[in-house]
Amino acid sequence: MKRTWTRITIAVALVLVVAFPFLTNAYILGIAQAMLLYFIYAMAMNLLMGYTGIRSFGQAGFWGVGAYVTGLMMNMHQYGILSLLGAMIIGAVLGLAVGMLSLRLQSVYFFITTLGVSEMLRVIAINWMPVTRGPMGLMVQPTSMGLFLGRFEYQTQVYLLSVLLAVLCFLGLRTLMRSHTGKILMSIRDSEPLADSVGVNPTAYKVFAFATAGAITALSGGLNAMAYRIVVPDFLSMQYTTIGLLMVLIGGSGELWGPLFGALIYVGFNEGLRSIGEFRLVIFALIMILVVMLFPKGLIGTLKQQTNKIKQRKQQT
Amino acid sequence: MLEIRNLSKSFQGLQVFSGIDLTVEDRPGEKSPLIGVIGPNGAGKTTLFNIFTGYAKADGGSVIFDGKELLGKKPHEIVRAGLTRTFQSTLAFRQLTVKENVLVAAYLHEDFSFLERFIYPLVSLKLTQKKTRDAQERAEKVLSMVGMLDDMDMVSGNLPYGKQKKLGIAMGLATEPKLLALDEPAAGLNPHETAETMELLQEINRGGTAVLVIEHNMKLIMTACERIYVLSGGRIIAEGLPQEIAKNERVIEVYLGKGMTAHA
Ligand SMILES: Nc1ncnc2c1ncn2[C@@H]1O[C@H](COP(=O)(O)OP(=O)(O)O)[C@@H](O)[C@H]1O
Ligand SMILES: [Mg+2]
Repeated sequence: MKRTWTRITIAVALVLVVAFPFLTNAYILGIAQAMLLYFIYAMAMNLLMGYTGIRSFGQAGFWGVGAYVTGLMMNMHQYGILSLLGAMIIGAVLGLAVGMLSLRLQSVYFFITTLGVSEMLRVIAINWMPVTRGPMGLMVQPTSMGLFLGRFEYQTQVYLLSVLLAVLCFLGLRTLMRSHTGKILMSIRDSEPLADSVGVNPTAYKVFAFATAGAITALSGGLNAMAYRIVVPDFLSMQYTTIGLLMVLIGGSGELWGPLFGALIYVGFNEGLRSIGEFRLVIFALIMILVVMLFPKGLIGTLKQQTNKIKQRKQQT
Repeated sequence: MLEIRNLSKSFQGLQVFSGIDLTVEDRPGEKSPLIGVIGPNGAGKTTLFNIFTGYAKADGGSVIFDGKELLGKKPHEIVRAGLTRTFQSTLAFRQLTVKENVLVAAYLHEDFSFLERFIYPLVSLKLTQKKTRDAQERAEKVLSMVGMLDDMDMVSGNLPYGKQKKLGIAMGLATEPKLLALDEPAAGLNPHETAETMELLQEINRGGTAVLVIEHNMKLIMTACERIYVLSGGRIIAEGLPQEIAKNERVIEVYLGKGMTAHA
């Protein structure tokens, strides 16, 4: 009974989400678009931090690289969807390379490597003028996504594509976390030496998680380039890593639905505070710290805890 | 089966032990060995386990298991070779259920291919159904053997300490080792749980698994083990049958003398 209702709710919500572009204006649609692509980013971060116990402090590197690859590919050959695939492949390859180099090391070296790589990429983006146009930023030419999307306006195309990709990522990660590989990832999160002692090769699984998260993060960055049609070196900065980490903490680390709520709240706050101007980030950071302190398990984690308590109380009486 | 020869180890120049020899024999067709290692706190028992299970480097010596050198191998490679260890204090994957804990260990012998490990799980659970069902059956068999079927769906971090320790043994069993090495399986348990653990170890051993156990509880080790090594002052100071060890003067002096007589 409860499951039926959950399914109906999800189906109705999904219909509304798909119908949204036809019910609203470009500004609001832009916000919904941000929520979708940050949702995808938060799912990648949750796979790393929430499920595998990897704290990546250079995730913005993947996000920015995804944005550049998508932007460049769209400009070069006007590949719509293929440019996202390109971003994902580059993100996965970068994740494999960085992961194989640094995940076998102690976490402090991993921290330095991930941070170092993302900073290096940022410096490249600033200085490689002929390709990235440096600090001025890369303008992205809109192009049709093809498929069944061709008939809609560009913004709507990107939005609907984002919905599709967000749903696919969600279903893929849900399946992963229910599988044997998902359980092995969580065992590594809980104790790496213990996982090792029952025959798990922790490095192999961590590299897998890092590469998968790299691909998904790059996809999110690519959608950002597609939707807002500009890519700047700042996308590779620590700020975007922090956003990813915060979304996971807010929604609930290691919770399937956590990233969705993390993204909704982050983008919502970000827009709500826009009128405050430059102080926005400071205020945002303060609010987030407060939220994380008050709800250490995140929104979904805390909700679960509360409903469990109520259930137990009911059973007792 | 396991031959440790002339093993030595020091931390930052401080010698923990040297010249350690220890053997667990292969006895095909006969009862599997059940061997104990005792010694005062800080003698280096855990360090010894850490070395032959890939968690620490030796300064010198060799560890041969089934004819292959173990030194230099990683822990998960050693488990694959048939030698599994448990930990003194890291017991279980805290946020996973009891069954999931044992499952992770039971996956070892399913030999998932690259696709089954890293691609299919993103697509559909059906693609690996046969192997994961196999693992589930084995996990449930192990849980029923240790009497934890009823706790199957509990989050392991919420279990009482005694059950967490038992779960640690169950996970070791689920890897189906030839030799199971246990680091103080009864430490911190009450007398009832200790007796249960002792019976469990003997049952595992009767099932054909060789057992090497570090233990502080003299009663447990004296009644359960067929042969005992005593590690103290960086050396094996005695080796033999429980009765011999109990009578050995040096053992009484360095080990039993230090307030352990009450347990013996
Ligand atoms: N990682 C380490 N670094 C430095 N010293 C250690 C380390 N691990 C153990 N030791 C030291 O080695 C000695 C043996 O410890 P351990 O093997 O845990 O003893 P036991 O298990 O017999 O109680 C102790 O003196 C301990 O302080
Ligand atoms: Mg010890």
